[in-house]
Amino acid sequence: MKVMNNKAVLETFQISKQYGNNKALHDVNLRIEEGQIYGLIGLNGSGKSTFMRIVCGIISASEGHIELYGKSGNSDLQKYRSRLGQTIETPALYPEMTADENVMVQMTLAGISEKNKIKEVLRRVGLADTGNKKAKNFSLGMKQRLALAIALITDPRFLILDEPTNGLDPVGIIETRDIIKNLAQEYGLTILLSSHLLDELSQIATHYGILHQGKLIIQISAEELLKATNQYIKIICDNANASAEILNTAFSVKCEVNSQTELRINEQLDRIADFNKALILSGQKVEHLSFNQMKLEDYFLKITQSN
Amino acid sequence: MKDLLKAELYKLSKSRTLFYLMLLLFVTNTLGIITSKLLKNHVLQGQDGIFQAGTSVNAMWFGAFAGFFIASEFQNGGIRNALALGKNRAGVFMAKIFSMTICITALLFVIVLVQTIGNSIVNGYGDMPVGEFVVFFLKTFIHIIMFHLPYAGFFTMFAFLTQKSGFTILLSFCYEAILLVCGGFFENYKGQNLKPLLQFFPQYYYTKIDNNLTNHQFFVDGYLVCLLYFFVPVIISIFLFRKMDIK
Repeated sequence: MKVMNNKAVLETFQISKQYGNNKALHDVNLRIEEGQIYGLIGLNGSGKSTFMRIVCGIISASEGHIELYGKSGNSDLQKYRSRLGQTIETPALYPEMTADENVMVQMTLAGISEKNKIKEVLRRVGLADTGNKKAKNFSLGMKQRLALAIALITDPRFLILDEPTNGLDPVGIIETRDIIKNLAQEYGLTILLSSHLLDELSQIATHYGILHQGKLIIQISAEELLKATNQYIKIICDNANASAEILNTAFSVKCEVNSQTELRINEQLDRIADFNKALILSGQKVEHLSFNQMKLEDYFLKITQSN
Repeated sequence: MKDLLKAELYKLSKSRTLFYLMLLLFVTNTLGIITSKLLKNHVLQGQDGIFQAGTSVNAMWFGAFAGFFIASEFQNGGIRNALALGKNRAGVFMAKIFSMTICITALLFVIVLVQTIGNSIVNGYGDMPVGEFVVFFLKTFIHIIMFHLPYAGFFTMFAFLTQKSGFTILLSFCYEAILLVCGGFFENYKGQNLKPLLQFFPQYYYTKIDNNLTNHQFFVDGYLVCLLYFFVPVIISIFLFRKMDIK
């Protein structure tokens, strides 16, 4: 992955969106830096798509403003949007056209004339061999990938993907995840993506934002999330109290004894092998030793319920 | 703007909508000529085929195009893709007007071509020298397109305001029906002479062109009325589209 230099690709300031009496977004302040894969998490109707649409200029914000690459004027935003790729909600495709033709439309719109790029982007998403098959006959996974190819034709530096794995089978999810990972690693793209599949998202994202009822309630990096999701070491042995004392003596580590046979350790998590060795050398029977973590779903529920 | 127009031309070349509408008009006009011949109810020479473009039924096909080619872009995401590329909204609208004008031109061309060639075969060509006719044909055809421009303005506006194919077709139908009802009323009203009011409707000009070929004022009035009917919906649409949220 390319080196991050903390340059903001997208920054929003007090973005709000009102639909009649319903406020879809409340004062969203969000910052995405170059090279980040930013996972936007939220329930249906939490405002994820609305936020992405505002960034893409498809809808306008009722209040607040956005900056793309540090610029916020209308002409600057238009200029930087031309370097942005997006797939928002349903794949935007011409059903009667082939994959090549669909990409060609976007290429023409973007003023790109190198026709060999069509094959290249289709290859990147695994659709190089669809021939004369029309988009209406594609599976949902193929449509999602074609939409991604269309988004990539402009060589975007910033990609916005709304639920790119929505409706896909497990194979499709893995394929799409690999494509996104590859785009970030090989091409150094900055990516904003939303997904309902939170554990899936946790395998890609470097940063997260949780939107709940239109409010951005937390922005957190993957490292911070790891800490926040209560990682712990779980040990099941024949005598939990004795084991806790051994570990406390050897490593000055505080152990939480849950039962006669189970204890948990919330600190010095990188010393799991040392703990194991110390217990065995002290004659303890260790039946189970594992590194455990709260799932992203659990963390999401915890955070949203507390809000 | 150049890229938007190029993309429209590419989509038109790949779309079946315009092709099917042209085919439909080819078939219906051919059948019309054959039926007329069989029923011997109206003998038209080939050189008069150019005046057969303006009927209300043809306007329905323009509405179908606005629905299936323009409004459908709101549903399939084409408009979204263009706007997310940072394209100017007025430019996006003008590109669609361009497509609509191409469609109207193509469909009218099919009609007048079939009417001219078909009637020439069935009833004879007429007495105008061919060279002179070609110039006359092209000049008249340009006038006819100009008199049909209001359809481009209104039907594209309907597509942008409703963002739905069905509603666009329905509104296009209503527009044509209103013009027909008003036209019929002014034409046939028994009391005060309301016929002069017909001159405020675009269809007056494309239906009466054959009787006014040497009337310079007719064309001046026609151009003014039709350009007004074209630009008013264009200005309204651009104003509204600039503020519109795209689904």
